[in-house]
Amino acid sequence: MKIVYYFIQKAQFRYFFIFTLCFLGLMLATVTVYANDNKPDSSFVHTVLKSEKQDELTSETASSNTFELKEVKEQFLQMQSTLMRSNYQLHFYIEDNLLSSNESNSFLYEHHYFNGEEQARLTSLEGVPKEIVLNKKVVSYFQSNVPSFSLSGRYIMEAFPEIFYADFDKLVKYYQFKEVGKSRVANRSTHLIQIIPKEKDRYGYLIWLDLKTNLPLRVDLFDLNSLMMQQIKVVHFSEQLNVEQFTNYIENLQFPNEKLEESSEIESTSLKWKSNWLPKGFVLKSTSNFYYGAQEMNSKHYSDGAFSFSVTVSSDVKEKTQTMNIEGITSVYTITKDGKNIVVIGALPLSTLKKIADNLSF
Amino acid sequence: MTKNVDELVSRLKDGDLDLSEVDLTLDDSVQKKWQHYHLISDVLKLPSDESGFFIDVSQTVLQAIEKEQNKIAQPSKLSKFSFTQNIKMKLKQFGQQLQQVGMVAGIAVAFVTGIHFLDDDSKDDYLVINPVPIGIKTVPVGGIQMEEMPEITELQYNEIRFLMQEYELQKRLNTLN
Repeated sequence: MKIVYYFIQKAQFRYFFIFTLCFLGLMLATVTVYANDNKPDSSFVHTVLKSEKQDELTSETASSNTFELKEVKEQFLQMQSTLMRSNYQLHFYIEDNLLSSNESNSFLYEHHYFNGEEQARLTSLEGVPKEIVLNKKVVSYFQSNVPSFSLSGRYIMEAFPEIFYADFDKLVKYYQFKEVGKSRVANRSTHLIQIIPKEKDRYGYLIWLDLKTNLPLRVDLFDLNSLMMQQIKVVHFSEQLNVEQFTNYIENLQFPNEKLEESSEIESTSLKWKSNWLPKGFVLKSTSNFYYGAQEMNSKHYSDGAFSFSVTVSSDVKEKTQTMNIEGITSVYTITKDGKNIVVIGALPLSTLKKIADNLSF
Repeated sequence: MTKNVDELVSRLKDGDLDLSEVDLTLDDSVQKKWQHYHLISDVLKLPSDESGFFIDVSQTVLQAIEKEQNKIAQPSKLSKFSFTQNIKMKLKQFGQQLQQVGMVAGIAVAFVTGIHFLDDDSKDDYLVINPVPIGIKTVPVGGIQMEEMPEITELQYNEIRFLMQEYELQKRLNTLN
């Protein structure tokens, strides 16, 4: 202590004071920088991509960006072409980050393309044996202890989500596409593409496309707070598929007789409602009427290509005072309004579902 | 030869030899050795507490301390300073204290503002400074809002499950358009 006092009293007094000031300044600066850096931006910016934060939605008009957009579009279209029109085999896992726990499942996805027809098989590699087969626009579900069923469909949604099969020109109106760098997945070099919604009412993606084939090798789904909700990650990728064995397997498969078709669009007589607000880009895909017990329900399904939601209205509101609200990969919002029970389910943030439900009129 | 002389001197000293038998006047070194042996035997014969190797330092230390005390007890030189010098010195001391307090306060302010900056959006996951101690759950003021907690009947739960299945089905059926 004596030495310190000596220093202060003697020549170093001024230097010490200046040093203290500098130290304080530095400290304040550091803390401020950290604080600004960590402020959550509600866009889907992964921590890895912090440097990309500056130009977000407005940058679309910039000339350099239109060039980049062209490039990204090319990559995206190439990706769809490979995904739907080539032979390959992928081993991957899907991890869902749920509220309380993480759920992970591993799969094998085989794809075969011949004469304009697609054949694909998704095999679950753990737990209860499960298999989904796509054969000429029919998707069949096989699972032990559950009767098999088929439905008409263009792709196996359980493997890659809707966005991979969507129309790029439509998507680009509501999402910003951006190549943000290079990375490596499944021992292959990849492009890293960010898909951010222009309006902050839906989720976003970060996708890793193989440099050579543009096949998606990793897909991360992010919520409004840039928290990862779901991850699909390929661990092994092969362009070699034993075509003979694969086609033989599919042709010898006992396909279920029951086939679910799209319901005809009938307007309900007793339940008439319309929505006054929808998130931009969402269009009506189908309407259905059905009964749950003795309760008549009218449901409308909407999609923007990347995500979808359904609004179900029923009139029986007995003992339905409680509500159930869940936010996640599939969010649920329930409300009782004007003697009608409204349930909105979709892959959207809860706040968006709430806004949709609040803007219904009867 | 020297060893012989050494032995002779030693024996002479111990009284084994008669002086008449040896001629010690021959060499200077032999005489020195004679003296030397005498010194050694004197030291060995002394009782241990009187030997020069055990010096009692306590007395000298005590004396030194007394002298020191006299110095400390002298009146402070501060009183001999002029009034202005006194004020200057006191100001200087005050300045030092102020400086220390200032530094500590500065750091505290920096930390508090830092926490406030970070706490603006508490949803942020990667807080640098976490004001809430680890392992302690905080509850918003006013307790948990019960209205937000889903507490639904099994019937309703089944209904929602059915609607979720319907939603998933519609999602898949719509892939064709």
